[in-house]
Amino acid sequence: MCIAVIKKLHFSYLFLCLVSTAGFFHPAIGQSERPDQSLTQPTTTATWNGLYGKFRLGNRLYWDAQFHYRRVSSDDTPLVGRMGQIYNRHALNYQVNDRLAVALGGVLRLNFTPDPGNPAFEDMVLEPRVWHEYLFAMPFNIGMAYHRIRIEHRWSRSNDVGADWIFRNRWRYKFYMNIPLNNRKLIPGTFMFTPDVEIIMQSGKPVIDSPLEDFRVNPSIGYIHSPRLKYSVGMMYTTGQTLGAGYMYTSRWVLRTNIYLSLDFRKKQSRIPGVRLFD
Amino acid sequence: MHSYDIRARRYLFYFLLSFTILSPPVFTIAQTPALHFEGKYVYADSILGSATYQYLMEAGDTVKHGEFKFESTEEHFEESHIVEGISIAGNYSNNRKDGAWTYTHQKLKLTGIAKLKGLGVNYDANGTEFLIKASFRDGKIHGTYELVRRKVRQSNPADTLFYARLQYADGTSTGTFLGFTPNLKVNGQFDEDGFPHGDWLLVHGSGSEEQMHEMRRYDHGFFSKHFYISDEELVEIKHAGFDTVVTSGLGLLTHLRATPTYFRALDYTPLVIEHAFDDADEKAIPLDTVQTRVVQGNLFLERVFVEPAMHLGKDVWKGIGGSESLLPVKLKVREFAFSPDEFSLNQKNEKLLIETRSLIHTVIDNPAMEVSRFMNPEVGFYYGVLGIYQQNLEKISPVVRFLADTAAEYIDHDAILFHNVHQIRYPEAVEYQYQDEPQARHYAFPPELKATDTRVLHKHLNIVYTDVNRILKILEKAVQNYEIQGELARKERNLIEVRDSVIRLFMDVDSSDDYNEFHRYLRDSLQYFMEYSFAEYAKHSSSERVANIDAVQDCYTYLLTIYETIANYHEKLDKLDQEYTRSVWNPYTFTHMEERVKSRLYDVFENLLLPFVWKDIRENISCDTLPGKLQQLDALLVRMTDLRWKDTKDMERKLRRARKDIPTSLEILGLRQQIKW
Repeated sequence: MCIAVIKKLHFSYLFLCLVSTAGFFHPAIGQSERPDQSLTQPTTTATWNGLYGKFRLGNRLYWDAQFHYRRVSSDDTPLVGRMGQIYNRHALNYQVNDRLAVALGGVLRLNFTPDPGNPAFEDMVLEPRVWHEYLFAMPFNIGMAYHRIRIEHRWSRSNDVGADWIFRNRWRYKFYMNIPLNNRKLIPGTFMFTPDVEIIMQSGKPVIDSPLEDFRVNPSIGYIHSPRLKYSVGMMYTTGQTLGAGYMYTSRWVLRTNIYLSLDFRKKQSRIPGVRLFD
Repeated sequence: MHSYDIRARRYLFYFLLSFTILSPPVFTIAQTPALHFEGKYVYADSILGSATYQYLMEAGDTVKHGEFKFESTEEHFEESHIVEGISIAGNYSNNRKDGAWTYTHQKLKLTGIAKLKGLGVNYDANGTEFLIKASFRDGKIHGTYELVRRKVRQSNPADTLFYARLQYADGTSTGTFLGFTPNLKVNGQFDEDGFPHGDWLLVHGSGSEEQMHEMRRYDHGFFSKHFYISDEELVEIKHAGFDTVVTSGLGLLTHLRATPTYFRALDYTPLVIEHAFDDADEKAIPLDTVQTRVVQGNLFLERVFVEPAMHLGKDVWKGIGGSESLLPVKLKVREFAFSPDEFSLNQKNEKLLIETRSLIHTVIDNPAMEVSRFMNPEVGFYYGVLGIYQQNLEKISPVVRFLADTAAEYIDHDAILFHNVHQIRYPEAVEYQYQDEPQARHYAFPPELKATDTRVLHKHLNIVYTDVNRILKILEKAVQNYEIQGELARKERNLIEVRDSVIRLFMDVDSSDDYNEFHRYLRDSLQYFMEYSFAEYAKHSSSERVANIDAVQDCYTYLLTIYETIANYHEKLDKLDQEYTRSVWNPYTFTHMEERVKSRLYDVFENLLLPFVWKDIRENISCDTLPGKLQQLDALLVRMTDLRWKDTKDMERKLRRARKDIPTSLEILGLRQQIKW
């Protein structure tokens, strides 16, 4: 139902849908120490610099390689105050057809201490994940719209010294579009606007009253430099419930810069041959 | 229980069987016997097809009564599998059309591969379909009447190219009107008497095109006001010669059925917009745009008003009888009739114009004159005089033709002439060339003319006609001297024909489909070369011309073939462009993206070497040099084709260092020998 509504691109409906979806989980929030009203943590800022690679290995097979360098605000420095995470995501990506791609792979995220120098925290802890993704593309008159379903199985622990590992599943749905601004098509030399919203739900034993992990609104401006290279920059707003305190909502502004690389690693001979002219 | 059930069923079966056998004669007796025709049928006295229909025989006459269907199919297999067909279907009641009728004309081209269906073979088809859906009552159009022209793609109706929907009551158009084409939407209404009435809104433009809302106000058939709407503001479009109709009183209007003449009269009226805009830059639509769109509106309304039942020159309903003719829409107009004298003079003026222009053409197009004017100063001088007459007659021509057209009587022709005043002036002296030297000589042309009056025009045309005749007599002797040279004259006539053909082709006089930017690029140089080379040839003596003419003829014939050669270059360049373009799948956007491969090499080719070679050709056009220059062009294209699949990294690095220097770039590409710098 939600997807059907979203396909019609009614963002207001999307919002309603998300609210109702959150409402579905709402009974779980009722806990004994729940305050009278929800609380919002102070807004934080961060900078995520991403390098995305899709390298063609076969006719339909790609190696999906993503790397994020994330910094977060500190008490005295917004956006880039301290190290946040380093994030490696890899997968084998299979292009089923021109409208669907699926991926399966692993993530290894490095989570850095929230308070550098504090011995109560480990300087860095690992967070491995297994993920799979189903990306649907829909052309419209001048651009493209996309529905992305991504499911992640994650093992994580906080940076507290001696913290236990916990296991959670993440259920992510993202809708975004590429709308060319100075062309009628997505071709090299095109600036494009990318409206982007994503909802991330989570489940698992530790998730008691915080199923809505994150809701992200990430509009960005992109530029297609060549068929192999694209850039984008945008300001993302996110909000979500805090694990273990579902009444507590986070609020973040994240400056995102991304580079998208797409190279063909196949042998030259296997690329499309040419045809001789003027014989 | 079981046997009882079987018996009961058996009785029921026998009962139904006997009822079925006995009942038809009973019903047949109860109604008049309807006969059935199936066979060949001629539609509209000319189109052979097959028809099936029901009819009655009354007093020895056939009375169509019941369903009727006619179909005709014509195959043009010589013309790429084109099938053309007409079908008409509907219902008769006592020989009068009654109920729903459709007329369909399809022109389809078979495409794709044959598909077996049962024992038949099916093809997909593309083409166009014209359709009229009508509703009749007792032989008169009554109800909704629709005209549709649309494309057929893969055997399915696709884009609608034209649609019009009228309402009729007993053969009279009444009620609302709706129509559209891809670029125009029309809404209007008719009054009870069948006249268009009230505001007719025409919305021009579609998609990204800027829209224009045009409004035509009809007062019971009389086109009384014309506007376009800009930000809800009515901007009046005045028609010179037409708005005077409004002020001249409405009691004198003539009723008429819409004709092409009526719409031609509308096209004659020049548009005037005198609106004071608050912000002219923002709101004003250029007059040219308004004019173009008004003409488009006229064309649309003419199709509907004049020929609601016509297709391919035939009244589609008349062809099978049983209905009254569907007449054009009724209109009202103020007539400005000419007096019998004026009418007669206007006809004479047109005749004089045609004859005078024809006389001048006999001289201008005469190869003898064409050659003699370079040799004989007297011929050159009079040739120049006739050229001036020809130019001025071109200017007068629209006015004369307008006055001779019956459409001029639907509008205030005096007002139009006043608006379209053509002042014809003649020079004091005639300039011409002799022996490569410009010459000038006085000539007594007629006095200047303001073409606003039939009689003044007539007087002027008479003077010109007489003078042209006089000049022709003077020139006759020169022509006779020339004609007696026999064989040379015949060859020179051919030579001039070829010369003119080359110029016509390169100037694109006939708007040829294969004319391209390279033809356009060369046309001025080529025309100069043709005229110069001919003048050079013509100034020689007869004996020298006899010796030279074959070579000049070969040269001109070669230039004719060059036109074709150049027409093909466009395709070659397109192929090369495709060859140097790669389509790459982008897994992030899910789109194919095109990019230039070997971009530095192609850039040097496209922006440096190709323009250089073309410029070289243009600046050195002659029959001696052209073959070599075109070979250089071919060498460049072949080399580029070869390089596409070779490793050119080193070459491209050198090209970068060459900094767009032509000789160095040619050297790097290995073309130094083939293309001379």
